Amino acid sequence: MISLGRVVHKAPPFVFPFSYDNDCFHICLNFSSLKTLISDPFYIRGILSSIKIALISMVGCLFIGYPAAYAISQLSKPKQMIVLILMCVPFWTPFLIRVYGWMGLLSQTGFVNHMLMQLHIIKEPMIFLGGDFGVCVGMIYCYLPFMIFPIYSALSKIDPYHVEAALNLGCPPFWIFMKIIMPLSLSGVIAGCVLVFLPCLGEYVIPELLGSSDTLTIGRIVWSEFFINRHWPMACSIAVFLILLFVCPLMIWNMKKTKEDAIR
Amino acid sequence: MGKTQNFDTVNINGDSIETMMLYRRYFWQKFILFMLFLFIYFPILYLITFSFNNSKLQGIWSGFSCHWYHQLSQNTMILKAIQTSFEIATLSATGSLILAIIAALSYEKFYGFKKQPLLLPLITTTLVIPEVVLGLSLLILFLPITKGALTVICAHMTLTTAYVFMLLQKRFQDMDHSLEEAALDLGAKSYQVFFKITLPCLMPSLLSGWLLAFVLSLDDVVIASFVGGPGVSTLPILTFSQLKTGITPEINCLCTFIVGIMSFGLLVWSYVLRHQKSHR
Repeated sequence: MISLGRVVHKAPPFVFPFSYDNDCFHICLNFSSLKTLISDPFYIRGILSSIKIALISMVGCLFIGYPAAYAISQLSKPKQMIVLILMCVPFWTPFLIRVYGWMGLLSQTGFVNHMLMQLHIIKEPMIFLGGDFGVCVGMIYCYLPFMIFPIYSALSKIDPYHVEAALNLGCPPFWIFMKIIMPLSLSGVIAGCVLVFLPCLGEYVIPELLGSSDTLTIGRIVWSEFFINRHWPMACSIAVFLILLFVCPLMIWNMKKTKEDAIR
Repeated sequence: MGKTQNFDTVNINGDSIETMMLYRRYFWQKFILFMLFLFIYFPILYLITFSFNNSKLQGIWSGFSCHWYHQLSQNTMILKAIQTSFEIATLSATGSLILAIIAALSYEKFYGFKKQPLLLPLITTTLVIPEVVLGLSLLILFLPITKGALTVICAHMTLTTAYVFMLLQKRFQDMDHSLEEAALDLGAKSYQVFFKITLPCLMPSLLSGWLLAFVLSLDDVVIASFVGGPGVSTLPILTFSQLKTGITPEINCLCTFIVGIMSFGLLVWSYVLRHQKSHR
């Protein structure tokens, strides 16, 4: 159903706003918006900055999520269940409300600034909101479970005998981690990274609420082109660009991988 | 993690190195989990405490009061939005559950079909498509139809079906299919098998799939505002516009309610799961 939607929005007749006449005209228009997308520095800057934000949040998620997933996978089975359920509770609350929580925490009169002032680390309240920092924090917070769950499931599949064998053979713990645990959990890490990176790239709500008007992301550009400029072809061509550049390679890679697995 | 276990104690005998490693390991494990939960729960606890705040300003504590709860109960706009949201979420969750059951069943029937490896990635990639893109494409798809609650329900169904399908398909693969075969051998009709054996076997994942779809639909701003017409204001759309315009302490109270309901639901859910397990 969704793949149907994707084909449809590439189709030029639908892209032109409010009318369905002359076919040739539509195609011309589509080209022009694609050309502006490539030539206008505004869009390129927006795309680059959203890639930067998504990358930072992905790495941040990885740095928080991997140790967390590892720690969870080391617990006993009933405890794992409890921890996972407890982890889910906040993520089942509407995410707007969670973002609102961060707005309160990071604002100039908010808790974080208050604590830092009390501890005499800073004198003036710092401005967290309205920049990339706030946006990244929000994204890391919202997409953390998408990182933890794949890594956790990969880690919990690792046979503990591998680790034990390596320990018996005198391998120092650091190298056990590098040579056994890391490669075996790599699939989970990749899945988690993809699950965090791509939605972050098109995120609209978090940069809108936690960032300033300068923090451009692809999601915001599409939104403003669509709702404010009413330039539908532009919005659609950005969306197509996003799909071509990021989603299609992933899909092809995914298909290849499943095929290989099926052959095995 | 590995780095933290890198011991620098050279002159201790092997036995105590091991115990020390274990000790350190438990310390780090607890520390990491503690930090994780602090990070996860802090914003929500913050909101809950400030829902009892007297002043309108977020972050400045000026005494305990239930003033904002009273305000919330008076605010018909929010209450109306809650109602719309719940209706849409219920309908779309049910719809996507039905679709996902059909999809999972037919997927399983195609087992061994040559093109099958191509089908699953097609569905899984829809999970990572950015919401804005999905909303835009759905809007263009719905262009000839008048926008309203119906289009929002359909859009949410497309969003959630993939998630529910993934859940169901996993469960379906792990299911014991010999039960179905036994029933068929004993002369049950295929629809009888489906309603009396397959569905009850899938029940736990059906429930969790429905809940997941419900929550996803309740959570969504972007697609709803693309697809919904001016008449449909769901709770997230309303909250979002209020957050953009200014500070609204009523949302704190709303958060408290939702967290309460969610944690209660999860408690019941985990109790049911445990009960079922011990029953078997």
